[in-house]
This record gives sequence, structure tokens and C-alpha cells, in this order.
Amino acid sequence: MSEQTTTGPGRQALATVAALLLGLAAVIAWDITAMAPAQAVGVGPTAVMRMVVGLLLVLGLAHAIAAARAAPKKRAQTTSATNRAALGWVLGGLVGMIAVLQLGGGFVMGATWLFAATARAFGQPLRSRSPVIGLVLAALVYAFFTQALSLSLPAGALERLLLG
Amino acid sequence: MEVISLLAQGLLVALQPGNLLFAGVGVLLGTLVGILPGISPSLTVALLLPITFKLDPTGSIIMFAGIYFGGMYGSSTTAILLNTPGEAASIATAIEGHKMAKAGRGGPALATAAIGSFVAGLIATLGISLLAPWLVELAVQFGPWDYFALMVLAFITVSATFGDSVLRGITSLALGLVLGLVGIDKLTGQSRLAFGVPSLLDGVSITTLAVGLFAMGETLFIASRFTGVQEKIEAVRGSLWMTKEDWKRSWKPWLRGIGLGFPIGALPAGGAEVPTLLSYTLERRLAVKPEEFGKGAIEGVAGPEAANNAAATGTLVPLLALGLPTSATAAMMLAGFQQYGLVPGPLLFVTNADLVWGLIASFFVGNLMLLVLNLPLVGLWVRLLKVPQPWLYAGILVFAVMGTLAANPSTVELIMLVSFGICGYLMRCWDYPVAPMIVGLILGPMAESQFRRALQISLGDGWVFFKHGGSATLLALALLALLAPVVFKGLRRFKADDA
Repeated sequence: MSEQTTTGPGRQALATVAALLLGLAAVIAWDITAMAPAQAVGVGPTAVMRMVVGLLLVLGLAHAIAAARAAPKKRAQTTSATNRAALGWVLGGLVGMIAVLQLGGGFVMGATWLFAATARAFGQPLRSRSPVIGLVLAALVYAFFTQALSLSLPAGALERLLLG
Repeated sequence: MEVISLLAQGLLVALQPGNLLFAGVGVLLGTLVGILPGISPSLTVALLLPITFKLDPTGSIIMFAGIYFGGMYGSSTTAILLNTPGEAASIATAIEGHKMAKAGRGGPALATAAIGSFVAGLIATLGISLLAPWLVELAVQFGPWDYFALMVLAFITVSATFGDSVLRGITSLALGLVLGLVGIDKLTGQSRLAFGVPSLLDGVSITTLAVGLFAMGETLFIASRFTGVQEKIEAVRGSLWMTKEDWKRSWKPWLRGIGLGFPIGALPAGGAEVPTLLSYTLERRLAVKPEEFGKGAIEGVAGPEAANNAAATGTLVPLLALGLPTSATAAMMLAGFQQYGLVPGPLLFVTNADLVWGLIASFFVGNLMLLVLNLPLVGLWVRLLKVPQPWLYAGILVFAVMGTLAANPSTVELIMLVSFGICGYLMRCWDYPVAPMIVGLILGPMAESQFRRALQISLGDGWVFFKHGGSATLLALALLALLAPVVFKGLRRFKADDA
């Protein structure tokens, strides 16, 4: 886990971060122009935004300089370790969860999918026990949070069926 | 002594059966979650925050403290038995502790960690009770400019001392500051960086950020490195108890660890990483049997663990007395206070004296419970380490999503959570520290309001920060902390050797 020692960002990463930081600065700067001018006493809400834009510009330039100086990293070294399929399954689980909630599918169904997809990323086939465990866990969590702690979680058809 | 009577009053609050129960449940839950590999104490607090939503403030904050201490204890157990420190501060423990476990001395390693943490917790809590009221008296005279300068100092030390690179630390901090800007400006009511999305007007929730960065980021990172091989757990073999020699070799490192941990934790520099590594180096120098270091020396567990707990307790001094969070966990604690509309700081000692002293006293109770509950239950905790990775991480994600939805049931919040997760994953891959981002989010808006208040009082004169002795000194210190990371270079080189 923490043993994988990353040796800091490579050239590409530095360049990416530089671009992201400068882009972020541009977005904030654009937002400042859309705001009403400051009031008379003290400074308005844009003053600190301007300072943050300045900070982002400095950091972005520093990253760009570091990227220009860095030796190009051998691609094979950085990418060979990445398990793209597993990464994809976890992200797919999360996106699926969002989609299920957006479509009104409710917490239990979404969480079951998230659980099964994440377990799939870590080597448990989708057709094995994982959907069942996920369903039981999600239902228990849902029941505990809504009944014992009276917090609200998104409900769908399944939840209404279970708890009336 | 006024402090003694206040503390006694606090103990009465903490010893009420209900609060005692909260402390116990907190300690158990904290250990339960904190022991899972890859979950740091701050993530433990973030994940369990929703459970305390509906409790009364005193009870839930006491439970919170229990969760925190339990999480720290769980984290060191994982470090010793699995060699996967959940946080940077447990790295030193993992070095010697795991070797001890391999040599069949896992029991004494866990015991010295637990008892050392207990002693450290007791002494550091005493330190809080003595130091905090004094700091409060000082803080009452602080102007907005002093607060602002103090926060700038905290920004710099948090981002420059965490991690290896000043540039990456400050970048992480800057991202946190940007997130802190999102939402309605409290002074003028104008919306900033909301882009017309109603859910963004309330600002970015600290819990969402922490859970996204830590839980999602960590899961994505582990998934991307997944090779199908389960990690090896060292079974706890042999006696659980420490021998007479173990005691003799442990008590001095405990005390030295506390001596290093508490002051560094209490400074706005914050963080438990530096004192634990300092303690490890110190114990290695002073060891009677230096040849054992690297092969499982008990001093190398006792010292850093005591330092870790003392530093963590120490970070509560600036948090309670000044409202200044200096570590990711302290930031989470502050979020816990804020959900009840409580603002830690000098005022809280006056308006909610019961709560503050009840909390401080419950540290005593929590530490005691930790010792009583966890040493006998160690067999149960070890079994938790054997949860297979698929179930573990799938469960973590479900709980992370659930916690976020319980706080704010909206899809936008969930999308933010996932975005922060991807951000945390990238930061993890490229070795950017995440703690400064969290501190930036929670401290940024506070610093801004002090900044603007100061300029309002001075009628827009920017020199106000340099005209007052206190703020000028603090800003000078901040500059020094920014320009002199060379001081930490030796420490960093040490870390590169051993970690």
C-alpha cells in the first residue's frame, strides 16, 4: 500500500499539472469579471480571489519550469504498474451509482452495483457472491441510517417495498 | 487551582453514564474502522461523522474524540501486523513493530504501543488543560491581523513540512484555497465560483473532500496497483504481555516521545509525522542495544507511538484555544464542531465551558477505555485485518457514498465526491500531499474573513499586518518557514532511507 514509493511527478505529469493550474486561474479570473464591483470600506469578495489567482499563476509557472527541466521519463516504467481494468471497474461502479440515483433507482440498488463493481475490480467475478453481499450490506445500512438515526438516504422502488 | 476544579467539573460531565457510553462506542467504532488497512485516523473520523449527526453536541463530540483515539490505535495495529501504515505518522512504528511481529513479539509490540499511547494521552491531556486556558487568555488580545498572520504561518508550515516538496505542498494548499472560495461570500452575499449550480452555493463540504481524497483516492490507487496478491498478516504469536525487560526498555522512550510530540503538535506547525520520526532517530541514537534497531527494537515502537499520540493530542491545543486546525484530523474535528454551529476558540471556553472541559476530561476516559478494551480484544481486531480486499474496498466505497448522501442527499454532492476521488488518486500517483488541501479548504475562508476584517478596521491600509508586533513576527516566521525548508532536509533524507 504505502510501500509503493512514487518518485514524484514525471515530466508529463508536471506539464499536466501546470496546464490545470493555469486553467483554474483563468476560470477564477473569468468569474471575477462577472462579479459586481467592491464596496467602499475594506476589500470586497474579489480581493482574495485575485490573490489566489496570483498564487495559482506562480505555481503553474513553477510547474511549467520544472517540467521543462525534468528529464523525460521512460513511459514503460510509469504505466506498466497501472491496472487499468481495475481502475475502470471502480470508476464504473461510481458512475453507475450516480446514474442509478439520478434515475430514481434508490440507494440500495445503486450501492449494490457499486459494491459488486468494486469487488470485481479486486478480482471477485460479478456473478459470484458479491451482489448478494452488497445487497444485504446496502439494505442493512439503509435500514440503520433511516430508522435508527433518522437520516434520509435516496429512496427508490426497492426501499419503499422493504420499509413501506 | 482553577484549572483543577474546571477539570474535575469536566470529569463529572465525562463520567455521566450516557457520555461514558458515547466514549466507549466511539473508541470501539474508531478501532474497528481504523484497523482496516489503508484507513487513516482522519478518514476514520470522516467516515464516522454522519453517525454523530443526530446526537447532542457534548455526547457526539465526546464520541468523536473516542473515534479519533480508537482510529489512531487501530492504525498502529495495522502498521505492526501488516506493515501498512495508514498514515505518515505510523511509518516509524511500522519499521520496528513489523519486525517484532515477524520475530513472534507482536504481543509486546502492540502492548507497548497501547500503553505508550495511554501514558502519552494522559500527560498530553494534562498539558492541554494547563496550556489551553493560558493560550485563551493570550488569544483574547489577538486582533484580526494576528489571527490572519497565525493562519498564514499555519498554511506555510502545514504545506512545507508535510510531504517532500515545498512546491507540491503549496500546490495542494492552493487547491484547497480555491475550493474554500466556492459558495456565497459571507460578508456581501455574492456567489463565487458557483457557476449557477445551486448545490455549490453552500460551499464545498469538508467531509466530502476528505472522504473523496482519502477513501476514494486510496481505493482507486490500490485498485490501479492491484495484482491479485493478498498481503501477508503476521499472526500474534507468543505472550501478549510485556516482560519486565520490555517495561524497562519502554518507559524512557515513552517519556522522550511525549517530550518531542506534545510541543511540536501544539505549535501551529502541527502534524505528528515530524515528531515520530524525530523520536525514532533519537531512540536509535540512545539505544542500549543499537544492533537491534532494524530487527525489531521495542524502543523504536514505544517512542514513536508515544510521540504520535502526544502530538495528536497536542494539535487539539491550537484547535480548541484558537480554532486553528493544523492537521487533517484536526480539520475533521473542526468540521464536527461546525455541524453544531460551535466555533472553537477563546469564546467557546466561556460560552460552552461544560462542553470544552467535558471533552478534555473525556480524553482521559477515552484513553483509559482504549487500554481496557483493546488489549484484551486484540484477537478480534486481528481477525478484522483478514477481511479480503474485494469486500474491504467495496465496503469502504459503499460507506463513503452513504456518508456523503446522509449529509446531503444530492447527485451533485456525489459527483463532487467522485471528482475529489479522482483528484486524490492523481495526487497519490504524483506524490502530492493531500492534508494541506483539507487544511486549505477549512482554514482558507477563516483566514479570508480575518484578512478582510483587519482591512476594514484599518480602512484599507495594507500595512496593518506589519504595524502590529504580533502579526509582523508571525508573518516573518512564515517567511522563514517558507525559505528554510533546508532545515528539514536531513529529516527527509532519513525518511527516504527507511520508509
